Amino acid sequence: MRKFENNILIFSVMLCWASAYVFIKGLPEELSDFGYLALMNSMAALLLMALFWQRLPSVNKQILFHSLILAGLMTLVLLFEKEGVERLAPASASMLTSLDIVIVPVFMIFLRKFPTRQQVIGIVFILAGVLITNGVSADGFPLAGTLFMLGDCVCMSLYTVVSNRFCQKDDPLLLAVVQLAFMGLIGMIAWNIESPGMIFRLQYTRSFLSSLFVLAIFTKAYAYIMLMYGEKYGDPVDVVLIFALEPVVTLFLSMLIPESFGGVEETFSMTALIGAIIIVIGSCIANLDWQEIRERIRSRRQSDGKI
Amino acid sequence: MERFKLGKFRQFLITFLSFVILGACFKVMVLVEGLTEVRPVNAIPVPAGLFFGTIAGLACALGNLFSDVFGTLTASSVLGFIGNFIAAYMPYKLWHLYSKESPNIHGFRKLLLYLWVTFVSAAAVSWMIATGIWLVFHSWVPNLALIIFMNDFVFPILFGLPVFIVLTSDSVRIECAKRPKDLLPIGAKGRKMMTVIYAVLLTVLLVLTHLGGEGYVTIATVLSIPAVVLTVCLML
Repeated sequence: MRKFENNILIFSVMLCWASAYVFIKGLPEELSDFGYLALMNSMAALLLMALFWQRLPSVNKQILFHSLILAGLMTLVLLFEKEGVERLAPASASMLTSLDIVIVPVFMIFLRKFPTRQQVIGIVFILAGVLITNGVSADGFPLAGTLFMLGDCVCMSLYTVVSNRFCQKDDPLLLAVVQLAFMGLIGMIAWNIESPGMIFRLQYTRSFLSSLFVLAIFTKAYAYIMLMYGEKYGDPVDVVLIFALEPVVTLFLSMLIPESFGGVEETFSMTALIGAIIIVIGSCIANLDWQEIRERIRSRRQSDGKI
Repeated sequence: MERFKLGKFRQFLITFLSFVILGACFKVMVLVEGLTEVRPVNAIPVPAGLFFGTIAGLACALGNLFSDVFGTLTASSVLGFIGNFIAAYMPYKLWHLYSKESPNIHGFRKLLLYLWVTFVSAAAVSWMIATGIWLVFHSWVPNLALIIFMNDFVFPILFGLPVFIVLTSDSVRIECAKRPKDLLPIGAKGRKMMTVIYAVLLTVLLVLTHLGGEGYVTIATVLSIPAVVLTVCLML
C-alpha cells in the first residue's frame, strides 16, 4: 500500500468520527455514554463477526491479548475524554487533545524512531493552527480537567503507537473485530453498573435503531477496520498528523450542515478559518511524499530536455 | 500471497445485502432537515462494480428495487433500477477501457482514473434518474439531479475508495471480475473519445435538469438522444 493510499484510509476514519455528531442526534437522551459505547461496539462486533465468521477460527491468544490491551486503552481514552470535556471549555479541551501530535513522536523516539524533518515542520504548523483557532488563556485550564484531558491524550498516543506495532504482527481485521467485542463487553459491564437493566427499558424506535445501526457500521465497524489497516501500513506520527485535521473537518461540516453542529456561528470565525488553513498546510507538509514529487518533477524535466 | 476469491453467488449476496440494509437504514433517518436523500449507501456501486462487474450491477439494481418495494415503489423505480445498474457497471467498463491492469489505485494515475470513472458514472446515474423523471414522467423535482450526482460522486470517494484500497492491498488482494468483452466493434481510441463527449454531454444535461423550466425541455430531450446512444455504446 502506497503512502497516499494509507493517508486516504486514515482520513476516512477521521471523517467518520468527526461526522458522528450528525447521527448522534437520532439517539434518545436517556442513553448514557456507557450505554452508547456498549450498544455501538457490541453491534459493530456482532456485525463483523457475522460477516467474517470464516476468519474467526484464526483468533489466537496473541490476538486476544493484543485486542484486550487496545480495547482497554480506547476505553480509557473515552472515559478521560468524557471527564475532561465536562470540566473544560471546548477550546481548552480541543487544544489539549491535539497534544498527541507531540506525544506520539516522543514515544517513537523512545522506540528509536525519530520523526522526519517534514513531520517536525508539520507538527509546528499544526500546533500554531490549533493555538490560533482556540486562543490561549491560563484561566481555561483547571487542574482536574487538564489532567483528565492529558490522560486522554497520553492513552490515545499509546493506542496509536501500540496498535501500529500489533498490526504488523496480527491480522488487522481480526484485531479490529476482537477489539470491538472487548470494548462492547467493557461498555456493557460499566453500563450495567451505572444503570442496571437499562438495556431492556430503552424504547427501540425505528429511528433509534437506524441511528444505532448507522453509527455502529460507520463509526465503529468501518472506522476500526480502516484504522487497523491504516496502522499496519502507516507510520504512527503520520496517523496523528492526519487526525489533527479533525477540527478542520468539523468546521467544514458545521458550514455544510449547521443544524447538526449547533449552528455555524458557534464554530465559524475568521480566526478559526485561518487556524484551519494553517493546520491543513501543516498536515500537507508532513504527509505529502515530497521526495516522490521532487523525483517526478526531475524526471519530467529530464524527459522534456531530451525532447 | 494468494488472491481472495469469492464465488459469484456470494459476490451477488454481499453486494445485494449491503445495499438493502444500508439503504433501509438511511430511508428511516433524516440526516439533514429537508434532505432525506443523503445516501451513503451509494458508496457501494463503484467499488462493487470494479470488483464484481456485471454481477454487482445486477445486485445494486435489484437491491435498490427491493428497498423501493418497502417504501417508494413507483413507475420511476424502473429508472432507479437502470440507474443503479449503470452506477456499478459503467465504472467496470470504463476502468478496463483505460487500464490493462485489474482495478487498483497503487499509483497516482490510477487514483485519477478512479475519480474519472466515478464522475462519469455519477453523471450518468443523475441523468438517467433525474432527467428521466423530468422528461418521461413530466415531474421536475428541485435539486434532485444535484442530490443524485453528489450522492453518487461524493460517497464512492469518501467511503468506497478506502474500502477499495483495503481490498486491493497486499493483505487481501481480492480477485476482480475479468475484463469485459466489447460487443460493439469500436476501438479503444473511439471509446475513449466517446467517453469524453459523453461526460461533457451529461454535465450539460445535469445543469439543464438542475435549472429545470419549460424552456429547457426541448433542448434536454434533444441532448438526451445522443446520451442514450452513447450510454448503450459504452456499456456494450
